[in-house]
Amino acid sequence: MANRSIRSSSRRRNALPGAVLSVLLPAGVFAASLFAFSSILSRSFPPGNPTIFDRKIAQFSASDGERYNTVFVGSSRVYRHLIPVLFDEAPALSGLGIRSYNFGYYGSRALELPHLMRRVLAADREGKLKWVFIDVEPMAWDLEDVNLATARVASYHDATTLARAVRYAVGRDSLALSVRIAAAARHLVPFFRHILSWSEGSTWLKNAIRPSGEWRRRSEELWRAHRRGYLSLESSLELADEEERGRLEERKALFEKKRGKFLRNVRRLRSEPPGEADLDRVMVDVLAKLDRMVRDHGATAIFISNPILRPRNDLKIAHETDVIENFFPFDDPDSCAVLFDPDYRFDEGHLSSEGAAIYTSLLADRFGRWFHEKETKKEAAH
Amino acid sequence: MIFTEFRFLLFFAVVFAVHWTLKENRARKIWLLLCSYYFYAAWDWRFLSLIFASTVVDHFAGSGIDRCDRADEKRRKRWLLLSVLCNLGLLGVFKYFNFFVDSGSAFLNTLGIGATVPALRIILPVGISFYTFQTMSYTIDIYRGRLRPAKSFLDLGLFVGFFPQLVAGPIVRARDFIPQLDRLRRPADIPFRACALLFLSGFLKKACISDNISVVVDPYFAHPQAYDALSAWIGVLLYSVQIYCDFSGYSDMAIATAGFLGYRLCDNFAHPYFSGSIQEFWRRWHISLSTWLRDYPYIPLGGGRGSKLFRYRNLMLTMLLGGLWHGAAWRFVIWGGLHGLALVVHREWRTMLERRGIGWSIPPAAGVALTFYWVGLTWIFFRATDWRSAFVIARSYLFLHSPGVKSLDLDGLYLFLLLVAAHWIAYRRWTVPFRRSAPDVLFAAVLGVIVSFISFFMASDVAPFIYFQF
Repeated sequence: MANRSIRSSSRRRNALPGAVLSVLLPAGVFAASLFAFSSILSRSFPPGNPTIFDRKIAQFSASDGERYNTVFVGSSRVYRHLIPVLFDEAPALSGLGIRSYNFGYYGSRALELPHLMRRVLAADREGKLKWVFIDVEPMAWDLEDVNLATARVASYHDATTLARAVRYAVGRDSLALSVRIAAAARHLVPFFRHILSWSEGSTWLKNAIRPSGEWRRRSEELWRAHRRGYLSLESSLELADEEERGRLEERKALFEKKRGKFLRNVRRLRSEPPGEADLDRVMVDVLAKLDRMVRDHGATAIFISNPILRPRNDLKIAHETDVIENFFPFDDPDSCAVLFDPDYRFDEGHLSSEGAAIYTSLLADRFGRWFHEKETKKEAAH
Repeated sequence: MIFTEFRFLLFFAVVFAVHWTLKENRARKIWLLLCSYYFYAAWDWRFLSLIFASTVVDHFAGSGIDRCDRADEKRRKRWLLLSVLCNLGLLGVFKYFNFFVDSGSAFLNTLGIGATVPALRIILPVGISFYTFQTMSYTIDIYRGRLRPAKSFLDLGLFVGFFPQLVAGPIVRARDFIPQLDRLRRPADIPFRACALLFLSGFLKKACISDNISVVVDPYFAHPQAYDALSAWIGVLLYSVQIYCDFSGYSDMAIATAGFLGYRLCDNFAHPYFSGSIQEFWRRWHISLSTWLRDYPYIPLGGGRGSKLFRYRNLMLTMLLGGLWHGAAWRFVIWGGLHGLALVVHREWRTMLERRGIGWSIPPAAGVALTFYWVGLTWIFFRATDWRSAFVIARSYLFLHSPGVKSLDLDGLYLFLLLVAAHWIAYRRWTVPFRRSAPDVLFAAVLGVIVSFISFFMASDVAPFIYFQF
């Protein structure tokens, strides 16, 4: 009896690793085959339709002879606001041999910026870059539905981005815990898309079956209108397809309708400057990372804040606490009154082409002054 | 919540894990019912009350019929009438009220009688057509003596609300599903390999084929007058592929999801585009609806009995009703009517051949092509946004008329041929021996390849299933 019990228990002990192995081995093979084949597919098929940012990178890489030494990186507020040709020719910068390129990319967020910066710096193969102007948009705790499933969001959702996003969402103490967890979990979707090359082949498939002529022609036309990466909103409006034109016209009309409200908000901002805002630890991480990347490349990072109605106190604090070394703010309606003039605006968040020209020369002046001060200090030190 | 969404996969992982952890059958059923209601509430919690009300009514009606003496036909009929009226009432109010009001007032206006009847501002509850048909079949089957009432309200609730089939079928029969609830399901009940392949096949059809094809189909059907005749053919062909992949993909995923939980749902599609006749098509397309239409309206109407005219009338009425079931618009009625007409012509043709003793028939390949061509024509009315567009497309499709100069190109034709080849492999069941006998490790490796293929080619935007609107 005792012998039988010992034998049955030893049989059970022997069966257990076998049972575990029979589950774990196929699971391991499944995972290995999944990642290996995803990687093969990703390498075998051409990337999807080039985005504006891809095209800018390609143009920048292909123009070694032009020796760009200055770039602007950031969101649409860089894309639509900074005109490289004007910047280079600004009297304040004469003699400095500035040749700039605009890498602004609409909709880019703080979490995406390190990814974009990596590509910009990699495109400067000969290490000619000296100045990198960076506009960092505020952090957002949630991913909007409209962006959740896009290839773009997936493209930068690697493990580091996921960790930052989760830390940021979970750290929003003002929100309910369930909301924070849900917001953090949403980032898993683009993360999995990223590691599994999710939907990368969909564009290829769609291109293979849809008539491409008209769409491609319009896209080329739009790209040709860019000047060193810059394109005004007015030009976009002129060249856009029906759907995009409708969206832009709506934005413009809405601003015209709410012009009075905009002016009231500007007045309020002047009379009651916003209180001190916290600098989030994740934002510190992103800013420090960007600064370090540029420094490691042998260039100087200059952070800027744009003329919008949400002053960037976090960048101000980051500058004061030496997280970032150089910071040029343009979000104060007192010192940059002209940039808050509705006549120079396309919509509430963006300047018109005229406003962009003014903003570019203000930035050039500020940069010129800063450069000369720096040089004077250096000479004095010698 | 859509089967191809990440959140559904998360939801199902939790449902699956808890379901198989629970040891008691009753606890599992309660868990599944709660999950099913959560699944539906994720779309709109307010309409849960409709499902619940429908279940309550049918529970009482079913027990009422069963309690009555079989000789007391009057009382039994009264209970049945209560169930049918309540279910059709729900459908009538939520799906057809505005349609009949609009059609009625348009008709009066053409007679010169100005009539404006207020329309209801309501949205169509997802899956209402599916679950009302299911619940009606429950009471009708009890009335016919083919089914005993569910043993508990819980069983009936789960039959009506079971989430895999709740919003877009298959239209499950109570006599097939409720008996499955009596026995505690064991993990051995899961045909794991078949379910995994079926789920992935449905996912591939929906996310990689149907959703990607919409980039061509949507612009074409939005402005058909801008395109040439060849584009009409390509547009209709691609829509035929899209709707099949969308709906059969959903059915595959529903059947597989239920299978993972240990339950079996009926098949809904059997490679309908390889049908050699329209009759065969309806044996292979949306099988659960066609058998429902056969068993409930068609046979009680008289079915295939009586004079020829009477038989064809029954057929036409059933198909018109089937069309109307799909949507509250005359386009769907026309769609049903065209199918009914084809069925009548096909029967007449067969009778004629038989009567004259002609052994010859259309070659199978020609039969498949002809059936596909006709089904394509009917899809035009199903998909077109309005009457004008429908006629423009039909004219191009039938008479090669080119209303515009824009063209959908044929560059991707080789992909279509690949698709047909893959479909043929599935039709011939050439993968079955592999599924049955491949070693676990090899099967897992193949699953990995399929999942990576799907994830690579799936459309980035998750589009709702076409049949959700019905």
